[in-house]
Amino acid sequence: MAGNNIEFDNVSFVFDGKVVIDSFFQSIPSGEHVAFMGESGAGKSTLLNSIVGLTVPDSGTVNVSGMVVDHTNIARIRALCAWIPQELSLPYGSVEELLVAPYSLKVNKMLKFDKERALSLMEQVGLEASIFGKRFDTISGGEKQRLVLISALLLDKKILLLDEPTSALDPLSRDKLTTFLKSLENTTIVAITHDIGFAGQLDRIINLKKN
Amino acid sequence: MQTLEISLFNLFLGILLVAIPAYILYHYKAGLTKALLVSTARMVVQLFLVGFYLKYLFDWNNLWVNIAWLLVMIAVCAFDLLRRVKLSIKVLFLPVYAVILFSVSVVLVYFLKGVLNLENMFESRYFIPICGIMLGNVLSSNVIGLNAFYDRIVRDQQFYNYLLCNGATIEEATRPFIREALIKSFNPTIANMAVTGLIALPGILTGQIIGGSAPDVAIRYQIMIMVIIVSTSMIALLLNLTWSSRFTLDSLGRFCKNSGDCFAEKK
Repeated sequence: MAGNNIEFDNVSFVFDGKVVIDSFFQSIPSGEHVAFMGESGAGKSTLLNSIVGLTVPDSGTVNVSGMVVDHTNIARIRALCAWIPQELSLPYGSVEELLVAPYSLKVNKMLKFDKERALSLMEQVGLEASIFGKRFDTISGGEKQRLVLISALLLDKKILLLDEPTSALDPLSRDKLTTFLKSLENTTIVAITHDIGFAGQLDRIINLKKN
Repeated sequence: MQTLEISLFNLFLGILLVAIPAYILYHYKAGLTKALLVSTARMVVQLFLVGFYLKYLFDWNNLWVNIAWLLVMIAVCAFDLLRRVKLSIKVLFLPVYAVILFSVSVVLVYFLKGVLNLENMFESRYFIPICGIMLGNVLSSNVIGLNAFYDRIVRDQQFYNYLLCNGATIEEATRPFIREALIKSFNPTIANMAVTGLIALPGILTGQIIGGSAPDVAIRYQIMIMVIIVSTSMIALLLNLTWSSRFTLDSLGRFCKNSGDCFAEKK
């Protein structure tokens, strides 16, 4: 059983004739928490996005949970993952709408929104319960990102793909989030970050170099 | 009742009215004066040409000629639609052509056979003008709808990706964009239907009455035409949004803006 592991097998990306990632091998075991670090243009987002098929390698394969990321497996892979970008511009009217909306998707039809658990998770990541009734477009970027993370955890997503999860947070909120993420032992986490303090708290740092 | 003929001189006098909007546009430097004059000239020439070939189509009243005319007009409609929405003609022409052909055919058969009970539904007098008005409205409604859909997909690509990458099917991920396209495209038509007869007399009704039809006959045709227009346009738009748009996706559900093939001009 592959669990929720991720494997990059000899992956290369070429954009506009320039090799951005060359023969990248990496294995992320199920439950490991990994940080992708490196300067801008090193290919961190390209690799993260390739896990959910938003980018496709020019050669090599990406495997998630023992399945190659291709058109035959993509629906099952995306059902396992939560993709949480850095800047979130989502047209949800309220925080509650953001949290409830995923339950109307076919993939989540068997699940039921648990408000008590949502409030408990919010407290754990440093969000006040009062945020629940707020308009989504009035809250900060850091709050949006943590709410989307909570939404994913409520749906029991086994692989979290986070883009700069701490960049919009104050030190206290950052520490709370870091502690919380570390507690998710059965969840595979891949986080893009420039925050060395946060990255140091994860199981492993993968440094990417610009070609 | 006899129709009052408009002589060419009187027609010219009538067209002179365009000078008023042209002057207003010129005065306010709206940059549309030339476009208005060119459009007016094009309209006059095109309508005279239509009048010319319609005369022959009506005289011939031939099944195959009429079908050929419809197929050519659908091709023109599909081409113009894609050109105006700046989508790839190479990728989308055939799907859009098929959608328009299907939408027009379904409603046409229902109306000409089911409602009018025509023995020969290809009779030029009915077949040609009904197809013409359907295609004109399919074009205008689909230009608005597809523009709204693709503009929003480009603008809010992160939202689409967010839905897709968190487990939504393509149908679920595109649904908010389809909803917006339907609203933008059909809001004006629905509002227009609501006030028809109160503050506006539609062109077809006016034309029929001036042309000598009794008002009650003209009104019944007007009702049918409006229903036909909304139905055909809605079927065509929905199929273009849900089916034709799939041709702009790759196997992983990414809109092919990523590879620049389908709507590079919208970037």
